[in-house]
Amino acid sequence: MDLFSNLALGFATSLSVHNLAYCFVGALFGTLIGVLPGLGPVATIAMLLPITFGLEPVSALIMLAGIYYGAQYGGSTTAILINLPGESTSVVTAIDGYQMARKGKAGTALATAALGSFFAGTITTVFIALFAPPLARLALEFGPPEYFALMVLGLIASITLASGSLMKALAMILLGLLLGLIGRDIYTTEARFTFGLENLSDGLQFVALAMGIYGVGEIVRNLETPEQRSVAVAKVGGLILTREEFRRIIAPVLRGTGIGSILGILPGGGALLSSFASYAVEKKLARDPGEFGKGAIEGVAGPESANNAGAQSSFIPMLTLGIPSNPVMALMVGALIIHGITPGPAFVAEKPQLFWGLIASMWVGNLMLVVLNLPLIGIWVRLLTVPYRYLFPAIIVFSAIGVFSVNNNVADVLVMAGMGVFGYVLYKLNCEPAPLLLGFILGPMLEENLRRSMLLFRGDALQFFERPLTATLLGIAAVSLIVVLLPNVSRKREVVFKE
Amino acid sequence: MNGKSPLKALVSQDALSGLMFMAVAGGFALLAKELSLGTALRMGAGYFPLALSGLLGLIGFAIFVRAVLSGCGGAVTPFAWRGLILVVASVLVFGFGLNGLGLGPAVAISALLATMASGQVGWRGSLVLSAVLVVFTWLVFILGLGLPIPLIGTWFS
Repeated sequence: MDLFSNLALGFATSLSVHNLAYCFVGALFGTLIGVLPGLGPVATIAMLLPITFGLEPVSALIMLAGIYYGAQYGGSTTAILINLPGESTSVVTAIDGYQMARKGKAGTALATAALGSFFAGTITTVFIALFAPPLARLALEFGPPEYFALMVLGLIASITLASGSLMKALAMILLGLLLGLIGRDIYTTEARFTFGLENLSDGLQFVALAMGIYGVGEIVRNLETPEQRSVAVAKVGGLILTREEFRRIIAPVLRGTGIGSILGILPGGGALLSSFASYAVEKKLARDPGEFGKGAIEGVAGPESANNAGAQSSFIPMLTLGIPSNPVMALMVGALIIHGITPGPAFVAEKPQLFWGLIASMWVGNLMLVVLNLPLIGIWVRLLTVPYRYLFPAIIVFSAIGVFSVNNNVADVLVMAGMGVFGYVLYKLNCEPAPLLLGFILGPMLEENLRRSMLLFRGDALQFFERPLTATLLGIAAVSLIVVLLPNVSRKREVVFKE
Repeated sequence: MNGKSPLKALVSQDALSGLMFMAVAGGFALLAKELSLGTALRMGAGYFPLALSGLLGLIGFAIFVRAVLSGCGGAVTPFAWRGLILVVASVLVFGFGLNGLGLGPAVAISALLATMASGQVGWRGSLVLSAVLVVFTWLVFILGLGLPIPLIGTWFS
C-alpha cells in the first residue's frame, strides 16, 4: 500500500508540466549525444551542469537522469543504421543490429531495441521502487566499518568486472584513490599533495578530472585517425514486428532485463557490462549460435534491454548508500551536493518527493523516448553528417565553460587541460580510465570510514572480521580477488571478454 | 610474441605503465612522508596515502617485471602531437584568459586553436565556427544563464 502512495507522489511530481518539460529536454539531449559518437553522457552532463544550478533539485535530477538513459536509446539507433555505436554500451548491438539492417530489417531492429529498452525501463523502475527503500532502511544501521567494507568490495568487484588487465585496473584504482586524497585533510587540517597551491586545498574537482580524461583526452584520441565517416545509411523499412519475431524476443528481453538490473547495482557495472553479459548469455543459449553476427534478433533484444536496465539500476547504490557506482552517478551526486543535498540512507525518507519523483520520471522518460525516437530517426541520421572537425571545437568550448561554472574558478579549467594530457597518456598505455574515476570518488569516503572504524575498534584492525557483515563483505572481496588472479581463471576471463 | 627484443619489451605499453605507476607512487610517498603519520588507532594525514602508495608501487613493479619478462606488453602507437598540443593549448588559453580577455575573445581564440587541431578545416571555416560559438555562448551563458563572466575582459578596458 505504501508503495502505491509513494508512486502516486512520484507521478504527481514527475507529471507536473515543469518537470515533464525537463524530463523531455533531458531525454532529447541524451538521445542526441547518444547518436553522436565521441560525446558521452559524462561529458554532456558535465557541460549541462551550469544549466541545472537555477532549477529545483527535482527538475535538475530528472533532466540529468534523462540524459543518461536517453543516451542508451540514441546509441543503438546509429549502431543499427550505420554500424557506428554512438555509445560504448551499444557496441554489441551493432554486431547483429547492423546485419539486420543490411538485410532490410533496420526498422525491425530499431523497434526491437525500443521495445526492449522500454520494457526493461518499466521493470527496472518497479525494481528500484521495491528494493531501494528497504535497502536504505538497512543502510541506516550501517556504521563506518560496514561502509568501509562495502566500498572495498565495490572497488574489488569493479576490477573483476572490468575488461583488460586486472593488475592495471587495480593500479588505476589505487591511483584514483590517491588523487582523491589531494587537498586539506579534514582531521588534521594538513594540506596534502597541494604543492602549496591554494586552489588545490579543496582537492581536484571531479568534473574537471572527468572532463579532462573523457572530454579532452577523448578528443585528442579521435584526432589520431583522420575523419572518414561513411554515411551509408540503411533503409529503415517497416517498424512492425511479426508475430514470430515478437515470440523470439520475449525471452531475451526478460533475461536482459534481469542481467541489467543486477549488474547495474554493482560498482563499475552499469550499462556497458550489462550489454556485454547479455549478448554472451544469448549466444550461449541460442538454438543456433551460428546465426549470431549475421543478424540474430536476440542479439539486439537482449543487450538493448540489459543496457537500459543497467543504466537505471545503477541509481540504487547512489540513492540509498550515497556510493556512486560509475562516473555518471558521481556527477549526479555532485549535482545534488550543489543543491545542498547529500544522498545517503536518509535520503529516501527525508526527501520522498525527490526520490519518488525521480523514479517515476524514469518511467515517463522511457515512454517519451519510445514515442519520440522512432519518428525522429530521420533527423538523428541527418545529424551524423555534421563532421567531427566542426563538432569537437564546440565540445571543447562548452566543456571549458561547464567546468569553470561549477565553482567559477579558472583553476579548474587548467586542471581539465592537465587531465586531458594525462587521459591521453593513459589511453596510449592501454590503461582503462573508469577504475581511476571510481577510486577518485571513493578515496575520501574510504579513508574517512577507515579512520572512524579504527577509532571504534581501538586500533585493532582484526575487529573487522568480528562483525558478521563486514567479515562477509571483506571475505567476498578477498575471495573474488584471489579467484580472478588465479592463472587459469584469468585466461578464461580473457576469452569471455574477447567474445 | 615477435616483440622479444629487450628494448621493445622496455618501451611496451605495460612496461611503461608499470614505470608510471611506480613513479607516481614514489612521488606520493615522498610527499606523504612530510605529513603526520599517526598510529593505526588515530591515523594522521599521511597514514592512508602512504599505505596506498606502497601498494601502488608494488603493483607497478609487478606489472613492469611481467611485461619485461614476457616481452608482450603491447606496442605504443605514435602520438597525435598536433592534435594534443593544439587541443590542450585551446583549453589553456581559455583557462588563463577567461578573466582577462572576457568570454567573447577567450571563446574565439580557443575555438580557432581547436579548429586548427584537425588540420582539415580551412581558415574561413575556422573563423565562421568561432564567430558562431562566440554568439552562441554569449546568448546561452551570459544572457540566458547569467553566469558571472564579462563578455569583454579587464585587459581591454
